[in-house]
Amino acid sequence: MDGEIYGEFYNVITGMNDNIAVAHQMWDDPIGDSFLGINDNVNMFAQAIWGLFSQNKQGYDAVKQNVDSARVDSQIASLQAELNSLG
Amino acid sequence: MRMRTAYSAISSLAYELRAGYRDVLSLAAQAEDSSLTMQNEVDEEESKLSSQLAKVGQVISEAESKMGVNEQKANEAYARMEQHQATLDYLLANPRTETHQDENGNSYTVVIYDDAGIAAARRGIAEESQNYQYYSGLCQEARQVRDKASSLKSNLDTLKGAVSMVRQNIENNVYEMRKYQSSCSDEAEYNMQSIVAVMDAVGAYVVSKTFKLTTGFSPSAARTYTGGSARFEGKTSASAPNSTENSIKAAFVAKKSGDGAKSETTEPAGGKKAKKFPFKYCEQRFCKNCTELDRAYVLSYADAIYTRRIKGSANVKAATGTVIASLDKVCEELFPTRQKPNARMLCAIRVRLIEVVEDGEKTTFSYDERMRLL
Repeated sequence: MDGEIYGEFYNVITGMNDNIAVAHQMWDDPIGDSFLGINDNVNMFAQAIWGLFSQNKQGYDAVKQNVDSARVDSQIASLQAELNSLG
Repeated sequence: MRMRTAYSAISSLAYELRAGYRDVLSLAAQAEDSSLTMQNEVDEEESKLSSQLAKVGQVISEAESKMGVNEQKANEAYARMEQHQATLDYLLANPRTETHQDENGNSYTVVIYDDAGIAAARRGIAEESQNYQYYSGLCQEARQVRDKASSLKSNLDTLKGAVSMVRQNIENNVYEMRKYQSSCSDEAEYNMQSIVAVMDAVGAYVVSKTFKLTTGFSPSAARTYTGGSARFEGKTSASAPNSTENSIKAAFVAKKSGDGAKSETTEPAGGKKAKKFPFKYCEQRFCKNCTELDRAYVLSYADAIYTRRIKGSANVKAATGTVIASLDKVCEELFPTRQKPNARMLCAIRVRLIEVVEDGEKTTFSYDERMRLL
């Protein structure tokens, strides 16, 4: 799912760049120019949202990598057992 | 004819831009959903950490309590041991003396130690020494447990702080994403309306009928966003009956005023642009920004589709049209286990397919035929 989103964002951003190439090819007048502006606008949104999503994913991955609840539970149980054995 | 070219080209780009906006909005929604799922999971981890911190706190408290109890018992044993030692010292230092006379009438003194008392004191010392060792050991073990639990608590505290920060960041980013989505949607509306205005002008000049986009758009690309699309279908051009090329430019000049964008001149010397199909595969449509993998997929899909569905047909152009009309279905049938092409790849496959058919069948699609197909 996350990989797909990354891929799709990539497609959108590169696709927008393709549009710029098309617009350059077709016109050298204000029409093409305006399309370039709109295209940049779409590109900007895609990149901004992609950037935020990337940050979220990085944070989430870091949490998943560093938090091991099962291990901590086991450590606590071991300490408790050690304590119980002290009478 | 030039106006017709402009009309077709604008419609192609309009579709691209609309698909781009839809893609962005749809992906933004997916990114938001995915981020919310992440936020929930991180939130759960944070809750678990809180609960674990509470448990570790209990362990620490219990360990400290046991340290206190055992330390007291050890101290008591030590005190008793000292008492026995004092008794022993006293008994050894203060033996009882008895004076006797021997058979010759000489007197002598006998030193009598309290052997039973001394033995009892020594037993007491040994016993209390053991007790002292035992309780000191327990106290030491409880201290070790306390130290380990404290270390774990310190780690968990640090971790919880970091997790909490990540959750807060995700929460803030989701809020930002929503703002971007809203702005993107507004911009999409605004820009698409501007394009429709230009399309009206061009459409009036070219066909004077219903505005209908036919190029470069795959319905599969329209996933969640419909705001802009309604403004294209069925839009009439009656509002601009006397439009000219200048009015098209004027509309865009008005739109772009203040944005500072500057295009590069690509027109050849002499000022006359050749009539060129806008999307020539790998030169304009799929420019250098596409990946090798994208290219490889498009090439292999187009070649395989031509070989298996078009090659040898009695009417090659009709067969090409049929395939292109349901390209996504054809791809699914031919390559059920391979990557499903997205909207952008489908566009590229269409363009490439026409080139492959032209090469393979030694035929040429006219400009209008291409525009109808794409």
